[in-house]
Amino acid sequence: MKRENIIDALDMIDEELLNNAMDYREQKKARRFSFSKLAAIAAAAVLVISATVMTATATYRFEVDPQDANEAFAIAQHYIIQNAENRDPYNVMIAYGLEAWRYDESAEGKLSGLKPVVNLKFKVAGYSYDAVVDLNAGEVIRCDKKYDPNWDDYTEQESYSYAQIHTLISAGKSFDDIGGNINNADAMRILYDYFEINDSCANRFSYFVSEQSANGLGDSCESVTILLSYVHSGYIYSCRIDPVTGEVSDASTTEITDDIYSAKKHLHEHTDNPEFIGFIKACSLASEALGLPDKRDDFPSVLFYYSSQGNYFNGVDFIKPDDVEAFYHYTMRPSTGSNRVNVFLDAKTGEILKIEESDDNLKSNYEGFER
Amino acid sequence: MQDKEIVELFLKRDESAIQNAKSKYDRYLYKIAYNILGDRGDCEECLSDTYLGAWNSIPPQEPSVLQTYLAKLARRSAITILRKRTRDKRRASEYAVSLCELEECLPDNNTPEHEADLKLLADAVNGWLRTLSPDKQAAFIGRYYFSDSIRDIARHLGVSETKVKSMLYRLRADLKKHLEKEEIL
Repeated sequence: MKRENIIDALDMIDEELLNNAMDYREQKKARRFSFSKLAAIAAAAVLVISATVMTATATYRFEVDPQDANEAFAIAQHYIIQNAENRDPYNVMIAYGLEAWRYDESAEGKLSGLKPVVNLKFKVAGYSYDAVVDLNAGEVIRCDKKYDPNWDDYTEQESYSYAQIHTLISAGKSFDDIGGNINNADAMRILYDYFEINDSCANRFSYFVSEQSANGLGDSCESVTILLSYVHSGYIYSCRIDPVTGEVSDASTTEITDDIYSAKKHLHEHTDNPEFIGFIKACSLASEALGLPDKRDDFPSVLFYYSSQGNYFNGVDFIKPDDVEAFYHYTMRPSTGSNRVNVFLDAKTGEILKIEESDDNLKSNYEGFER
Repeated sequence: MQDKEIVELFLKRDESAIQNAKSKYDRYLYKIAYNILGDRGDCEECLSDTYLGAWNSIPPQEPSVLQTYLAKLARRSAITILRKRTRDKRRASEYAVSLCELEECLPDNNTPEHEADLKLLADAVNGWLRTLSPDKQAAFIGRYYFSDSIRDIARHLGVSETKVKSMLYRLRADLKKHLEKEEIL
């Protein structure tokens, strides 16, 4: 049968069937909305994080539907991998300071499609990317890559996603850095296989978070276990992977029940070395020192890092005392329009190592922004 | 504005009907056109044809579901543009030109026999579609009528792309079986 015939025959599909198909789609959409609200909130939270610190107004940022932003990011990720700019999907997945907004339609003048053209800015492995993604065509229109000499200077990229925080927790180390027999991509595949996750990193926003267990920091790879958590479609898939044998242990699947913070808490519950204070406690200590209500659930106004070695964080000079093994660094913005406050805590004792208030010239951006 | 009111405007020959239909369904129809044509310029032409088609056909037509009616018009118009485009491209070579000249000696498809065959085929497809569950109907119609991408269908139905692919594969095989049983193939 000729192709033309089938095209013409399909044109004669009963209108009733077409209506039914469309109705069904709408019903699914309505149902999906209610079921996926939590996942959407989680995705939105990532954007909220971005929105708080960028130079334009927060409302402008929110013009992009989180789902569209996720889709655009996935397309950009895929593009980067396809173009051999970064073959390691693990690295591509961790976007630093992702921000997304609707492209300037009036400037382009022809963007009348169903979906927006999204402009994304993000950082991956030392490079800044500025990508424009057309969601109608599902393709990257433009993707500029620029080496970022200030990769370690996060003053302009305050909007850390959850993923990057945890990367910083591992003090800038990647799986490759810690030795053993597996690398980042292997770890990802092991987790995928274990949980039977079907994700070619081309669908939706997702990221890995990695953490060496606290007792492994600075030790040889034999004593290091890797905690890998993968946040995907409202679930966190976590497991420990032995970097030498690739063996999986402590596997769990957790639904993100309230918001993205549960993911954060979940990870910290796995930081099992009693020698170190947990994140929750550290956060409370920092809040107490500042005379603030406990802000741990008020992310993104609280940003935190954990390091065993760094001396320069977020534009604040900080020299780690020799007798301090590891420290937490928090950046807080206590209230709308206030200055940023940096707090450094000894990770073992909770002792305040340094508190510094800084005028970061960004506070005006918060005015009018409501969480 | 409700569909019924827009249709009323068409029936009264009020030109604001087009504007109202446009503001309500332009993006939706654009998507259908873009799925088939993949070109912004052609899509705009297609949409103009669609609204003109609606203006010329209502009345006498009085669609019960305006969205579906416009979707059908948009699809038809997009296919016409696509066929024209393909024809133009074919004519680019001398070989193709010579074939086109020969084609003119052959009967076209608009014969009563051809129309009857098409009707039989369409009836068979409609009959087969009615036997399917709603999600399968939606997947098949989405893919082969509206030319939705696999990704879009997966999103619409709330399932994975892999599932959509395998569902469509099975549906095609099932359709083939059905058409063979009906002695259409």
